[in-house]
Amino acid sequence: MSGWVIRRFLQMILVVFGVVTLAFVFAFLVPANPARMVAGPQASPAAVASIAHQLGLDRSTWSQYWSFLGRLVHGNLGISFVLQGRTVASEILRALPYTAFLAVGGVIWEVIIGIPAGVIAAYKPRSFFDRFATLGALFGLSAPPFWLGLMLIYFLSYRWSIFPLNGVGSPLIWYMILPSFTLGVGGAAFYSRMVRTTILQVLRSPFIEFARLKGMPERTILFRHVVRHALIPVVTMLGMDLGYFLGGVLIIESIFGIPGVGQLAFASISTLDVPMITGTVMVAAIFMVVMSFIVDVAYTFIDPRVRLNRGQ
Amino acid sequence: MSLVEPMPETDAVVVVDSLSVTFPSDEGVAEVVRGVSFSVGKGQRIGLVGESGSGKSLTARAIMQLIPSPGSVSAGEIRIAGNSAALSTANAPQWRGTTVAMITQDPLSSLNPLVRIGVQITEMLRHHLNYTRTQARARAVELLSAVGIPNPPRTLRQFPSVLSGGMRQRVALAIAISCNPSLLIADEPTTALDVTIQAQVLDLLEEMSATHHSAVLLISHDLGVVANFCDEILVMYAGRIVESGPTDQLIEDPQHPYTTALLTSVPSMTEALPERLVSIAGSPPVGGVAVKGCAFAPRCALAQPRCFEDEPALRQLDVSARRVACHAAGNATWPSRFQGPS
Repeated sequence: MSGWVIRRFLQMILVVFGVVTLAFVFAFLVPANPARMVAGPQASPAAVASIAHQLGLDRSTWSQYWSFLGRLVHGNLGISFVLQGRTVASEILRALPYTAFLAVGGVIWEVIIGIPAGVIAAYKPRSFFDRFATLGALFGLSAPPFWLGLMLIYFLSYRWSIFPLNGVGSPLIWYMILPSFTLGVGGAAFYSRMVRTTILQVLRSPFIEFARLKGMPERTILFRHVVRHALIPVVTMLGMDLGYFLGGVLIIESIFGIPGVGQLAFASISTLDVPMITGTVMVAAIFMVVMSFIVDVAYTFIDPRVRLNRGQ
Repeated sequence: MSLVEPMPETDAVVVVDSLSVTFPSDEGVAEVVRGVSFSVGKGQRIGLVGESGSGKSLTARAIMQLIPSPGSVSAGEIRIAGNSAALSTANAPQWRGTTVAMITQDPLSSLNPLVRIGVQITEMLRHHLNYTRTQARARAVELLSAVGIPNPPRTLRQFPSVLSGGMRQRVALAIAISCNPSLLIADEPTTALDVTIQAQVLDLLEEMSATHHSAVLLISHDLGVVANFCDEILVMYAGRIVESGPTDQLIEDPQHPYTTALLTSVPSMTEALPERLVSIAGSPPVGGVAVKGCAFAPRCALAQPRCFEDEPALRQLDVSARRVACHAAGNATWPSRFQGPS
């Protein structure tokens, strides 16, 4: 197990390194001069050149990459080109809590809607609820988040004034209910279908028949014997969802005016703020690999068969 | 009191009365179990034999009131001693797992792979007998050592995937027997196991049913297994019981041509094997298709025109407690009576 953890950890570092390098390379492949972006369209060539020198852009790409890596090893993500004097790390740390709140909220919505809906639909196949859930899932999967978000804002915030219109404030949870719901609806729809299918399969398995032959009550069979199986695929995908969301969810953040990592990344790309681009990309990559690591570990706790196979 | 003594009908622990099971099919309904009646006496060991699709497993599931959807019990009822109401899903909590228990064919998948073995044993004791956690655990250790699990305390903490098929069937047997059922149904309990393990599991089944005073309904396609184990045998063909009687009599003097054919196809351990194993020519009618006359007639060496016209009723032969559903049985004037199937 510990050997596996070490191998896995090295792999994670390699992946993050690769992703960051790609982000760096792509930022330089863009046919625009970051110094010009900083200086503004009216600036004289001399002013642009002076800014380029200030930012170190007049050095070779290799030398820039080398000093970038050198900083990175010391945990320094650099200083923003655009936001004068602000470090990339401080900007990300300022945006991250909002995105984290939103991401966790989205995953919670996915779980509390998706799993019960799937379980009930599987237990009463072809019932009214099952059909209703199928329709709901179709809606949840096909409704574009930007449309759904705007509809929620229009009705719940603007017309009926239940929720705040836009932005963030105190208490934060109040401002996060609609955005996280919008974020989670698609996943909830997907999970309800997946859980339904898994449970229908599990209900046909011999060990469920045996549990019934033992005279166990249906409630015990559901919670002890059935739901665990349905959770195996869900845990994988939930972990991936969380990792993905934590990297920033631009559309949701934009619609609801949340100053999260997604907006930060988008702004940095539109202004060619190279340190900020590589920084936000790196954060997204780290969340992704860390979550997939956690998923793998969590797997061994839910499914004992996985634990056994690892040693070989 | 000896358990081998034949019990009068009133001592029956389970009475199955004209049980029929149907499944919806393209041509209306398919009747896959047709009017099956029998009773199991206290501590008795009854064998139910028949080939695949003869309805033996469905009979067992009908007793447990767990016919897989979309099938259903269309007629008849099942009663157990000490319970005036016929068995039903509604009163299942009073008897399922406690008065009547059952183990199934596939030991590899009858235990939940994600739940510790200990939980799968104790959950039953705690639910049915209201044992405390400690009591249930102690009893589980007892049960596991009784079925020959080497290190019960360790096994309790393990998951089923670490055990072999034979060990898992032992665990399943320990679970089924844990609440001292008056009837234990064993549906092909050894079919999925190696031959050497089969004998061990059957011995264990015999031992467990004796110590727990449980009657056993052993379902198998293997007449040899059933003959060694049971006091009485029921032979099923195409959803009906075609012959029943005490093991010795049924083996010595089979009355139904199907039973005769089954016995002929059991390889002998003492005589030299024939070039090819004997088999019954033809195949049984496909699940529940209504057949005119006797369902076995197309494969029967004794069949006469009458056999294709009217279905023989299951009748008591004047000799002892034997029942048979064949026009030819006991009929001295039947043509080519002793020819046997070719």
